Amino acid sequence: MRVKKYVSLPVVIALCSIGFSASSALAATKAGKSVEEAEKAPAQFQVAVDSLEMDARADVKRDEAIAKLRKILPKVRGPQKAELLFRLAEKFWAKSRYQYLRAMQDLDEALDAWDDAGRKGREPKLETFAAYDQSELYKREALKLYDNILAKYPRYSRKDEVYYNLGSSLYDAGSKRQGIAMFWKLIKQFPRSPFAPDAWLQLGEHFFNSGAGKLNQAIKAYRAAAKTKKPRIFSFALYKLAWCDFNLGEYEKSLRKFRKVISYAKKQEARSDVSKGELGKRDRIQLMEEALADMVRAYSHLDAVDDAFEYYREEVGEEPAYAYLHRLSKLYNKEGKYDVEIKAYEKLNSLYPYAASAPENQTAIMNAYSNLGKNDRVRREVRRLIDLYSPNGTWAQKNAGNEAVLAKAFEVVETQLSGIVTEQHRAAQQTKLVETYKLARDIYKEYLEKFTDTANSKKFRFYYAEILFELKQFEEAAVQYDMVASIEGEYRKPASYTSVLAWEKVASGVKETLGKRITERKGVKSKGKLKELEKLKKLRKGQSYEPTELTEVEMKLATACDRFVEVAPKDKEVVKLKFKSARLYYIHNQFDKAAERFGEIIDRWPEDSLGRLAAELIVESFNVRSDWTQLNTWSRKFQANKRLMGDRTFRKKIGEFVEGASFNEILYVFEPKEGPKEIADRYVGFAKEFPKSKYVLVGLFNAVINYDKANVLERSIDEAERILADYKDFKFKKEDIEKSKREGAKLPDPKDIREKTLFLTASFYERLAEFDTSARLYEQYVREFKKGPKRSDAIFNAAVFRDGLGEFDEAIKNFKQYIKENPTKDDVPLLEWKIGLILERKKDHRAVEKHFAYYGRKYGKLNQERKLCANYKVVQSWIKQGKEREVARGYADLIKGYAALKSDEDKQKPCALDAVAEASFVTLDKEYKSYEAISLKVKTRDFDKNFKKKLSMIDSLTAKYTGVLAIGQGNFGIASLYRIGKMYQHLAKSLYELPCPRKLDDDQCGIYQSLLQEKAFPLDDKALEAFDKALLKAYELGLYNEWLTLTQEALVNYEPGRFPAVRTYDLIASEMVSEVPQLMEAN
Amino acid sequence: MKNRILLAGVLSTVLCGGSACGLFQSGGPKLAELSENATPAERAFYFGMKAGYAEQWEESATHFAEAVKLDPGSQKAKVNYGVALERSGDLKAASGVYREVFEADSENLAALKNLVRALIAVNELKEARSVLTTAAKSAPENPELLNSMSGVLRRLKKYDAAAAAARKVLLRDQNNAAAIKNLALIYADTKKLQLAETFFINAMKLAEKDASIRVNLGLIAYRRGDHQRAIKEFEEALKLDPKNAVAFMNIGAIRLSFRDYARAESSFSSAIEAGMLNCTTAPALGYAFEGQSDKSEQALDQLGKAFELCPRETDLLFTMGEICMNKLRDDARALGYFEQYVGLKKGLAKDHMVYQNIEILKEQMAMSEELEQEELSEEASGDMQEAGGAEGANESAESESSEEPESLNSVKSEGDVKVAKPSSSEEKEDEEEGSAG
Repeated sequence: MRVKKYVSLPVVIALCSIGFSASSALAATKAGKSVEEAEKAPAQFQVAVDSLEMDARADVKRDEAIAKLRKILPKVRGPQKAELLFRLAEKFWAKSRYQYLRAMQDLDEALDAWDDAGRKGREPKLETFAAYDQSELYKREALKLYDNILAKYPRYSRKDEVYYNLGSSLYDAGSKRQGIAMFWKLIKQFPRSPFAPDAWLQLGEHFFNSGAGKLNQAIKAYRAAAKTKKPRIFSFALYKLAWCDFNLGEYEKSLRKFRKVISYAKKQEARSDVSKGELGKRDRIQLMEEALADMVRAYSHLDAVDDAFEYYREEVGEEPAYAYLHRLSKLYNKEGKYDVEIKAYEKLNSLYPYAASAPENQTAIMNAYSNLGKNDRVRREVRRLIDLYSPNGTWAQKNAGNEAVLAKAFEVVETQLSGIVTEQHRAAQQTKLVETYKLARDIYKEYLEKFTDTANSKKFRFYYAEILFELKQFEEAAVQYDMVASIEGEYRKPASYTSVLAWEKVASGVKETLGKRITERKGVKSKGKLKELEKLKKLRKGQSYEPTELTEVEMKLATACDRFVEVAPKDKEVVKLKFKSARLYYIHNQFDKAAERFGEIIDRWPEDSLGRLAAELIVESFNVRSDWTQLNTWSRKFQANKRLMGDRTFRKKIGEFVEGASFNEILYVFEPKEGPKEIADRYVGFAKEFPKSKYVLVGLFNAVINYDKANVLERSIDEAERILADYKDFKFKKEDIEKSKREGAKLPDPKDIREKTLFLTASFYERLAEFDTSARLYEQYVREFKKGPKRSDAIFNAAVFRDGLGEFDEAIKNFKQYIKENPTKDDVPLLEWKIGLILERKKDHRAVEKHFAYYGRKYGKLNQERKLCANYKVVQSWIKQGKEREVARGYADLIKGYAALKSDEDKQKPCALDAVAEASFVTLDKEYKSYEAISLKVKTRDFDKNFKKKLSMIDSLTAKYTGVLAIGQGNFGIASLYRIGKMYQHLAKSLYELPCPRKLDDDQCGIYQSLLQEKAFPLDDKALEAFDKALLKAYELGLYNEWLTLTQEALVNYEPGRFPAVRTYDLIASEMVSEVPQLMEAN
Repeated sequence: MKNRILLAGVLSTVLCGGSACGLFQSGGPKLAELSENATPAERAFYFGMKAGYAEQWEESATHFAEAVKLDPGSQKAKVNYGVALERSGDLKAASGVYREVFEADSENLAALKNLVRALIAVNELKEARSVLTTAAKSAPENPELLNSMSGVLRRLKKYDAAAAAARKVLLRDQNNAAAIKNLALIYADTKKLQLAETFFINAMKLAEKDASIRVNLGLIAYRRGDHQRAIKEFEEALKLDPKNAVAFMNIGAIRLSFRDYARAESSFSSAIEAGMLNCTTAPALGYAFEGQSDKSEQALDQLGKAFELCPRETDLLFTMGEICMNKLRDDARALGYFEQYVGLKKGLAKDHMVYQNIEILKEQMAMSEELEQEELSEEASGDMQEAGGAEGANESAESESSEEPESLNSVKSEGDVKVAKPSSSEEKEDEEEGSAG
């Protein structure tokens, strides 16, 4: 990097009030030399540049002065004119200097811009600036004026001064010979001129700078100059004489002269009188400093570390002494005197361990040992450097707060370390010696431990890794390569690659022997080739593939492989590397991670032979582990890859995976976690995508089941009917059957699914209360599946629905079928009974008679109560058929049968009670009718007989009806009470209705009827008692039947207004619209 | 039935989902506490709810009316106001409120349901269907609307359409209790009683506590003519849900048809108390009173209320006339009812009993008038003749009147004596006169 600001002249001693020379530093800079190199030269006789003079405002003044002088000049004659010309020449000279500095400033700025722009185009030159031309113009004007004065005014009183000025101007302007000639003229013509010593000094400087051959002439000139009593001339001449001795190798002499310059300057300081003396304070100090500094050079040749330090400390104190000794140490280094250099630095660091430059000193020591080839000492000093000057060390603590010092120290240490490590590495490469490599390795290590983020750290880490690799420390090398590879930069790619090599070597476990010499090669893949790919074991279904962890080394190798692919995607070996990475995960059964990598291979390099292999490995890995989601995802992904699908066999295989995995994913992955509706939708989606799949039937069936679970009956029916209609003749492909045999897997039987679906569909319609459709489907089931597991249920359900729908023949047919096929089932007797009831509803009374007769025969032996009830049904069918004789016999048998019941429980059963109550009651009908048939409208002689007969029958029948009442069957109980009341009412009515005998007159008739009424009234009371009893009992027991109505009608005869007209209302159902309204909560 | 377990499982989850299943067994609804920051409208709403839950329906209606007044935008307050009115016996006013809410917001299901139910209660089935048709325009798939429509169509004997509406619901939600009930009831109405019965029996196996199943089984038994079984089922329903209005109503209907008037009265009163006030229960209670010789006045009062509720039930007027004529011997009132009946009842046969009754009553009244006038003239002449004996008569009157103040005083002074509240303004006036005397 270019130094931004050109340093000012390092040593400028204003020995003369005129003339100027800024060229030295500029020349050095422009020549590309370092400032240090410029410092090698002694101080020169130069002109101090007065900044005021160079000020623009001063220049304006000068212009004003020039203008005035030019105005005056034509009017002046004689020596006065020479004086004015001399002044004018001075002004031009000053202007020339001013313009020169401006040109320099312009150059400085132009160089900055040029540098900032990347040094493109031509480098700016001083001569190209306008100010420079101006400077040259004014210079020429000045020289012309001086020449003019000498030519036109040979007796001008300040001619010596004109000579000096002209000589200086010419010399500085590059006309050295002419300049020297002017100095000689001055010395010869005006040996006592106050400018003569200056001229001698200028001559001394000329010869001093003219090379070693002119050194004696220089000494003479300096000595002549030293004869002057001017302190500034004397001290400078002495100073230059010291330099002359130095240059002649007379270091002791030189040292003495330098010391003399210092002591002289000190004495001058004591008697300093600036007004008289010509060595000003600034000049004096500068000269002393120059001398002190230049003495260092002399000391450097004398190996007098202790002496030098003591001298300096005495003369200038500890701090400057430290600086001089430091400078001396540097000189020792430059002169290759490393031992002495070490001594000097060690002295400094031992005396001032916390000095700001202590770290720098330590690096110098380290470098010096390096230069001496003392590797062990180098390692030790490197360690010391890091130990002593680390940010947490004592030195840093002592310098805390001084950020600049700390920063600089850090920079120095880093710079020095980087320097030495570079040097050592280079040396190792040159010598090829293992030991040298080891030293470089150790320094790199130290450096990298200390400096992790410097400009060099990446590069050094890479080199460090390289050396470690060469030294066959593969694991350490791999770690370092990984670090380099993880950061962007030029070393990333080679580091990434070599990292893989290193980890492969570590993973292989093979120990490599290190020779004595190393030949380090350069280049991205200079460290060797990748290992060949190893064959993978084929996975087998049924075996366990529990994932195992990669070893740490394998993990790092995999990472390294992945990284190289990322870093160098276009490298020809990336596929192999990605495969290696995937393989590591694959062999550890980490198939997901392996798949990611294999997938990448397929995505990015589908045409590579490893792509197909990767695809196969992926699908197999998921297939053997039944990871259906992944298998589905990947298979579909591969299916979409046209290049990958180029191979027919592979394409077919992937197609099978897509189909199977899609189904199994729904079955095993989604079913446990999703709602039934979502699952059903998925199965339907599967069926849509794979309508001919071997799984389609199961899928659709599962959809039916899941829609049902999700309470979406509509969809259940849709899909079920789709199975029944679209897949009626579904058959598996031959290859599917063979494959399933091979794999030991059982394919679902399409008939089995149809059977289940058909039954389900019937049940769906049943739930919709579409019983006709449901019955039809159940019957279809029965027709299609002769051995269907639900056959009996289907027959039964169909029978029940047909019965409910009033389709009696079909109902009976179904029940009979059921009974035929399930003759031993417990419900058969019940169904036989049911058939009888259906026949009743069908009003096929003959068939009812036949059926219940059969029932009684078949089941009567086992159950007497049932037999009684069957007989009861037979009797009822006889009634319907008008078979009175059979009815009478039947009732008698029922009464006997009831009496014969052994179990009280049977006797209390409703059917038995109904049968016996009805039989008992109806059997009395004949007798009751006989009672009613006995008429009182008979001849008088027969009246008593008949009346008594009736009364007798009332007693007899009342007893019998009471017996019926005692059976405990409510309806016939009420009926019996009614009949009792009715008998009394009938008798009473018969009495009321008796006509008067013809022989009686009206009065007698009235008496007759009164007598009859007297007889009838108690009978009415009895009738009313019985009716009321019947009424109350019926109300009490809720026996709302025809007998109650008859009772009420009978009562109306006694009390016509007792009952208003019968009011009837339809009963209502319990349903939403009949619910009682409820309040709504606020929220 | 075989393999009905799946259906039974479905039913068990759904049939017990409504208010009919154990709502009252759990102690009834609980009201959240009133917030301190409640607005006046919220406070009125809260007290309306509180009174409603305490079955104080008139008070509840007052609070909800206030809530509506304070916050006219509150649809819930309006609907509740309607419910409170309905429960307090003013079905007509309640219908008006429901209709108002529904007309303002045809998507307000609560208002719609209540309005439809109220319309069904007064046998306005076509109007109910019209309302539902309007509501269905904006929500054609709404299961509650479809179920209500199914119920109404069933009552209109449009069974296929009713079944289609119910099945539409079931296709989307086979567990929908109302739809299932509707279908079963359609079978019951179309005389496929066995299917309907099988359906409910299966449902009952797994939803034993669903009173509605028992009610509907009772209905089926009744349709079969097995009244005993029907009543048994209804009573079982009441064991499960002691305030099941439908069960009360159905028992009452059977009892009334068999002239078991006292028990019918109890059933209908319970039904009305449980919230079922409609054109069945209101007149039926009146008829139950009618059948009891000592409750003719109550019969007249109840039938009057029923007619007010159900003005189309003009036959009520005829009955009321007969009660007045035959039981109460109040010819004037009887004539009034008969004449009102004739005025409202259209298409009456010329030989209808009412004309005969009117004629008889008019004759009787004319005769009575004549007799009264005769009696008055006799009394007047008697007074003239017995003027001298007036003192004794006065004594007698005094002795009678000397006892009267004692009884009056006892009524006045003893606050714990229960005095029946007069049911007519006439009685009130009498009481006031008595008090004054």
